[in-house]
Amino acid sequence: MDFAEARELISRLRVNVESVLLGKREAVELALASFFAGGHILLEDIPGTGKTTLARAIAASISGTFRRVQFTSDLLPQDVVGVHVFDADKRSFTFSPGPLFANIVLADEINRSNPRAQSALLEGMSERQVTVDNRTYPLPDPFLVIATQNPFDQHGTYPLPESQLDRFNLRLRLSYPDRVSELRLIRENNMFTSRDGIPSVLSPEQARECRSALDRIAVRESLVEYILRIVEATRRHPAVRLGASPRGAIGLKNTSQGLALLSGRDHATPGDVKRTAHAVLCHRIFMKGSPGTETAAEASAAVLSEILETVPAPL
Amino acid sequence: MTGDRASPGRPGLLWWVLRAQWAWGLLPLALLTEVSRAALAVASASFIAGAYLDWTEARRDRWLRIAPPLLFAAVAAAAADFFRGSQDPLYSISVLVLGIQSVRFLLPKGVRDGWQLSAISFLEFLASAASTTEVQFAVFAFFYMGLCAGAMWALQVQGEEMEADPAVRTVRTGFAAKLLLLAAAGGVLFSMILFIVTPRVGIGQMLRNLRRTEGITGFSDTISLREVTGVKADRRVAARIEFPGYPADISPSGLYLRGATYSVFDGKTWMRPQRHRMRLPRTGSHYTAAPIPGGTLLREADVTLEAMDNPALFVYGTTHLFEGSLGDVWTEGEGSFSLAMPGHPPLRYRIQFSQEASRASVPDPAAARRYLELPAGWDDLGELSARITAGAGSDAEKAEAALRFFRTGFRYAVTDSASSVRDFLFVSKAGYCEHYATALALILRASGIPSRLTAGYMGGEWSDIGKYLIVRQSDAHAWTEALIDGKWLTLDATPPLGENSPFFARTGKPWIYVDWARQRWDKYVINYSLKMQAEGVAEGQLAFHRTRAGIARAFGPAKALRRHGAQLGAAILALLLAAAILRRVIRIPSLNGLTAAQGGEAPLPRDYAAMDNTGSIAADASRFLALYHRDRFGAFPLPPAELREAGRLAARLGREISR
Repeated sequence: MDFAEARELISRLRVNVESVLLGKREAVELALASFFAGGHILLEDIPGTGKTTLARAIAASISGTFRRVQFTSDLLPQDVVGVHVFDADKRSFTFSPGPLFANIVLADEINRSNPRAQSALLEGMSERQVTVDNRTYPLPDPFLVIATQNPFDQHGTYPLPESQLDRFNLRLRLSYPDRVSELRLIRENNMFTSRDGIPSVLSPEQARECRSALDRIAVRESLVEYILRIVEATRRHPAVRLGASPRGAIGLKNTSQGLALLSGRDHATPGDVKRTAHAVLCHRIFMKGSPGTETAAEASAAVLSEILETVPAPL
Repeated sequence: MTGDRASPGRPGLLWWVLRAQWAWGLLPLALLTEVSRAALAVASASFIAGAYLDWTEARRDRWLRIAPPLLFAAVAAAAADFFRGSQDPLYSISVLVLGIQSVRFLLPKGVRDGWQLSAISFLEFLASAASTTEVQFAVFAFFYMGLCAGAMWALQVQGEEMEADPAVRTVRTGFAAKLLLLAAAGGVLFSMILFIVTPRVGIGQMLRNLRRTEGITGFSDTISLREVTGVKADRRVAARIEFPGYPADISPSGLYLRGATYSVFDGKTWMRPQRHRMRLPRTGSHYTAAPIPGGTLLREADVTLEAMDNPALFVYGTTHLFEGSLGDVWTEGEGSFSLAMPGHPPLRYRIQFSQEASRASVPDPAAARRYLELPAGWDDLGELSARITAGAGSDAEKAEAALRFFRTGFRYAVTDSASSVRDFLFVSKAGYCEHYATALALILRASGIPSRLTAGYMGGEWSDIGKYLIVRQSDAHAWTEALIDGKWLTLDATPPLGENSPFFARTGKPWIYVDWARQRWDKYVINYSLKMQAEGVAEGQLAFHRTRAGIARAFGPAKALRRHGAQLGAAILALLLAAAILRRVIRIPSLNGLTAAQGGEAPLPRDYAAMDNTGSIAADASRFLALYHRDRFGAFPLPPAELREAGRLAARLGREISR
C-alpha cells in the first residue's frame, strides 16, 4: 500500500469515527493516532461522555472484533485472559480464550478491580501475548486496549500503579461535547440508539498496512532531539517525583507520526509533538506530594505546559 | 584661562559654562551619593577659591611647588576613606578624584588644564551615575550634557585664540543656548538608550562593597511593641506594585501585603522560630512556591521593592509563582518568603497569587503546639477568652466572637498606646495594630485555635495616573492569621482607618506625578531584566522591519519588489524565526497568532478564516507553512520549484502582514 492510499483510507476512518462521536475531533484524532502507533488508550472522564462509543466506533470501523470487560472488585485474572478447561472428549485441557482475545478490548472502569486483575492486562498490553499455565498465546493483530476510569469516584477503587499507567500510551479526557454537538446529540438520539450501524471502512489487514505506513513518516533528527529534551525536562523539573519514561518518549514520537499521518503529511512537525505531548506524557509525570488525586493530575498538566513553553522547539 | 600662562582672552559666557560644568560634576555626587562630605566640602571650597583667584588674576607661580604634597594628601585621604571610612571602592576613588580636582582648581589654568578639569568632572559624573538609580539623575544628566558641550566649545575657541587664528569667531548667545539645549537633549536620549541597551549588570554594583546597605529598616526577625509614631509618619515608599491582569477600575488597596510570619510569643516579643528553611524550586527565573490547584483564579502583581535591610519578599494572598532574578528564594512554609541574604538593592519581581486562603498542610505536632502556645503565667487570658467565646460552637464562630470583642471599648491610638499586651487587654484598651493583632492571636490561642502574627503592609495609595499602588512605610501593618477549617484565614482586629483619620494621608497631585515619573524611570530605564531587554529589542526589530516593508511598498515599484521577493522572503523567514525564538523567552501578544500557527500543525483554512477575514492570506499562509514544514521536517528538502514558490508566498505574506 502506498502512502496516498493509506492517507485516503485513514481520512475515511476518521470521518467515520467522527460521524459518531460528535464534536470530539481532537480526541478522535489522538485516539486514532495512538491506534496506528500501536499504543493503548486510557480514557478518563465522567460517565456518559462517549468513552464506550469511541471504542466501539473504532472497532466497527476496522471491522474487527470488539469485547468489553467490566472491571469489578471481584474480577479474576482468568476472567480477562482466559482459562484452560478440561475437554472430556479429547481427554486434555483446551484453552478457552478470554475477552482479551479481540482487536479492540474495552476495559471499563479499570480502577474498580483489584491489582491482580489489572496486572493480567499488563503482559497482554506490552507483549501482545498472554501466558496461561506455562503456555503462551499470541493476541490478535491489531490489538488495542481502551481502558476507562472514572476520576471523580475514589471510594473502593484501586488507582493504577505507575508501572501500569506507563503502559498506556495515551490518557485522554473526553469532556462534554460543545453546545452545537450536544444539541444535535439530544435531538437525534434516544436511549435505544445504538452505534453498531456504522459501516466498516478498513479491514484488519488494511489497518496493519496503515500501521506500516506510519513507520515511513519521517522524523528528523532535530525533532527526535526535541522529544528527548521535553522528556528530560520532565525528569529534571523540581516539582516532579518521577518523570516520563523512555517508553513515553517512544510513544510521543510514534503518536506524533500518527497525527502527521492523519493530517496527510509524510513528516512529523514540532506542532504534532506539542499536540500529543499532553495526552502522552501527563499521566507519566508523577508529582511530589499526594499521588493519584485530581489536583496532582492538574499539576502535572501545568508542569508539562510550562515545559512545552520553555523547551525550544526546532524551527 | 586667566592665569599667567594663558594669553589674555575674553572671559566670555562659554568660560562660565566651563566652570558650571565643573560645579555640576560635583552636584550629583553631593546630592545623590554618600561620598565623604569632607572631601566634597574641600573640593567646593577650592573651587570657589580658584574661581576667585582666577578672577583677581593673582600670580601663583610658587603654588606649583605645593602641588605634590597636596596630591599625596589626597591619596592618603582616599586610602583612609577606603580602610576606615566608607569602605566602598567606588566612593574612595571618588575621594581621590575630588582631591586631584581640588588641587587643580587652586592652580593657574591654561587651556590644557581646562580640558583635564573637564575630564575629571566627567569622571565624577560617571561615579555618581554608577552609584545612583534615582530619577533626578536624568535632570542632572540633562544639564550636564549641555554644559559638557559648552565647555568643550569654550576650550576649542580658547585654543584657537591662543594659536592666534586670524578667523576668531564671535559667539552669539542665542545660538549658543539653542545648541547647548540640543546637545543636552541628545545626550540624555543617548544615555537612556545606553541604559536600555547595555546588559543589566549594574556598572556600579561591580565596584560597590556589597556589605553596604542603605535600605529602609522596618522589619526584623522579631516584632515587639514599641514606639511607632515615627513609622506612621514615615512617608518613604517601600514598594510600588502594578497589577497587569487586574481590571483597571478596581483599586486593590484593601489587599494585605505579607512580609513575615511570627509564631512564637514570649510575653513581649514575637519571634520567628528557628526552623528549617526550604529553598523554592526554580526553573530559570521562575520559582514555584505552591502547586496551583485547578480552578483557582490567579492574579498577577508586578512588585518593585525599594532597597531594604531585611530579606523579606513581600507577597499577596497565597502566592504560587515568583518570576524574577532573585537568586535563591527561601520559605519557612508559613506563606512568607525571603531572599538568601538580608539587605538588597531595589528589586523587581512578578508574583502570581490567588486571593483564597491557602489550605494548610497538617502541621507537625511540634508546630501545632507552637501555634497554641501562650506565655507562661497568663492564666487570666483563658478566662477572658472563655467569656468572649461563650456560646460559640465552631472555630469560625469563636473567631467571629473574638473579632467582635475588639469592636467595642477599644480605641486606636499611636501616641498613648498601652505598654504591654496585658495592659492593652485589661487596662488601657488603647493601642495600634500590633496590640490588636497580638491580643487577638492570644485570645484565639487560649480558645484552642492555632494562630500566628503576620507583618507587612496593608493597602497603599492607588496612583490613578500610572495605575499602580504606592505602598509606603506608613502603611506598615500587623494582623492575625488563624487556622480555621484547615485554612489560614486573615483576621484583622484593628479598626480600619477612616479617610478623615489623622493617619490617613494623601499625596498631593504634583507628587503623584513625580512618583509616577520615578516609577516609569525605574521600570523602563533602570530597573529591568535581561528578559525585558530582549522584549524591547524584539519590538524594535519588528518596528524596523515593518518600516522597511512600508518604505519598500510606498516607493519601490512592484517589479523591483518581485525581483527581490526571494530576499524579502528570506528576511521574513528570519523574522519569523527570531520571533519564534523570542517567543520562548517572552510573549509578544501581536505575534502570538503567527507563531502559534507556525508551531502547530499547518493551519486549516477555516481556522485562518476565523482569525482573519481576508481569505487569500489564509490560503497563502497555510500553503507557506506546509511548504516550510516539509522543508524543515520532511524526509527531503524541498525541490527548487517549490522552494521558489515558498519564497514568493513569503514575500506576499510579508506585504499582507505589514499592512
